[in-house]
Amino acid sequence: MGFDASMLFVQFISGLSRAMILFLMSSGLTLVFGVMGVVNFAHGAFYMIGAYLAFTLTEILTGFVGFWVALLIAPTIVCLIGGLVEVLLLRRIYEKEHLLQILLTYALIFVFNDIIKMIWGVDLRIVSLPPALGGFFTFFGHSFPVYYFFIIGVGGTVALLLWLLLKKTRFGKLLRASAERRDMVGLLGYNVGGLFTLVFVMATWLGGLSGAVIAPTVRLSLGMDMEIIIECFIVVIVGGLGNIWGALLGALIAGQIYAFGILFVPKYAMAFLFILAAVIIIFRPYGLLGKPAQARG
Amino acid sequence: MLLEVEKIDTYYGIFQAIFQVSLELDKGEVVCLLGRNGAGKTTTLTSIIGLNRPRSGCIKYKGLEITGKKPFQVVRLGIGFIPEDRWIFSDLSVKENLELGMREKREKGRGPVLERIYELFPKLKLMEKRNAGTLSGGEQQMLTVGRTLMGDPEFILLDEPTAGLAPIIVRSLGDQIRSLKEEGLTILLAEQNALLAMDISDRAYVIDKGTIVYEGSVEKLREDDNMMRGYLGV
Repeated sequence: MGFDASMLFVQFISGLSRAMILFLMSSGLTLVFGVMGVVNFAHGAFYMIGAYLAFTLTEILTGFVGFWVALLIAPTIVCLIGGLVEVLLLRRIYEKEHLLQILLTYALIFVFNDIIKMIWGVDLRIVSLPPALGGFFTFFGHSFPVYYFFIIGVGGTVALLLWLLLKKTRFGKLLRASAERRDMVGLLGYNVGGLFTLVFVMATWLGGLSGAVIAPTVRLSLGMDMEIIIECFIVVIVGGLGNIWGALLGALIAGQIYAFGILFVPKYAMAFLFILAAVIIIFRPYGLLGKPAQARG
Repeated sequence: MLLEVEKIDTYYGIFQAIFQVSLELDKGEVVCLLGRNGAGKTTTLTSIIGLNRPRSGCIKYKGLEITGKKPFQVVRLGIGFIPEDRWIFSDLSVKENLELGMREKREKGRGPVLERIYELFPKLKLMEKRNAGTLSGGEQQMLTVGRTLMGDPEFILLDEPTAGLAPIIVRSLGDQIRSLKEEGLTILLAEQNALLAMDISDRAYVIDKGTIVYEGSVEKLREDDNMMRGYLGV
């Protein structure tokens, strides 16, 4: 089978849409780590809740509006749950050793999996696409799902909004300052605890959005959180943990490696990703866009 | 009294860093806290601002007990803390650093604050667009002081502002602290550079091994050979 240019373009677009999902997810993960210093293993669980909520919402509200409403409401519910988790649980352990954070966020994975099992059961669930997004483009004899472009659009929009937030707004500058010197932000009179709650709400909103966006392209099942979270950790390690643009770069690389890996050596597509992560850890442990570790305030 | 610290004990884990430290400041005073490296100067300051919680004792600001309050709560009462390590936000520009120092819009009539900071540190205006991470040590120190002043404190805790700076920069920093004093700011200055600090201050405390060993006027301290040589290495 020969690979012509258009075939490569198909893979590129497919890789790009995968990258955007990975970015939506990893940006939340990396934001929480960068600003709060917490590695949130449960980030995938929020994604899964977002996907299941999208399922239920599109079941209730059928037709054209259902999907769009789900896209808005599902992440909102997820981020409210995220806010509760921060206020009731996470807040108690910031000053304790890191092991407790890992235990807590890891435990949350099981808790949320069981809650989902109780509410939605173990059957596979499918979210149907609204007609407008369900079609295909035909391009040089190859067809592209329209939904790929929709995902790319959502990812691009979120990246742009995050850029504006971090560069142009006072809140964003405060986030960047907190990522570097949490103590000093408190010493300027800001309530860092409140800031953390907002960051966690934002991050879980992004997780919920990723789940809702990906829902129509996969079969929803328990454990779908683990599939993506491992890849997201690779993305943030490659890009630099705590760096949003690192997450974007890492996601773009991971998406393309997967898309082209699957084209040439389908069996080992994921292996390339792990090899990349290993190489980065050995030669540039702080990631492509990260800075060498420094004392955190 | 603006600030009353009464017999505080502060620990790091099981290690006790300061013992029964008491000190007082009146409005408008500049008081220095002198002592060697590791004597307990920084711990005294961080206990006041709330970074370290004293295990016993009491701290009052304007008669209000602030012991054990979080730093942001203490800061909102009008106290500023300028850390020795400067803790600038190196990823932000000089101007952005300063702007974050101003938490909320001030009441009208106080004038453009940023302009006042630039008057005090003209150099900062020249490099307002630069990334704070590219500044020299002395420039970072000015930025740190300026950033805290943006919050319009009535009282500042200044921790070793001259540490690691070249003599010529130390001198100009001394002038700048003096002009803050003239503006009516109350300052508690922790310094190893005893001569500079005594030049600026109205009163002095000397701390050694976590205990206050001298309290009184700067003039008397100057004449106390024992103190000067034994505890301050001058």
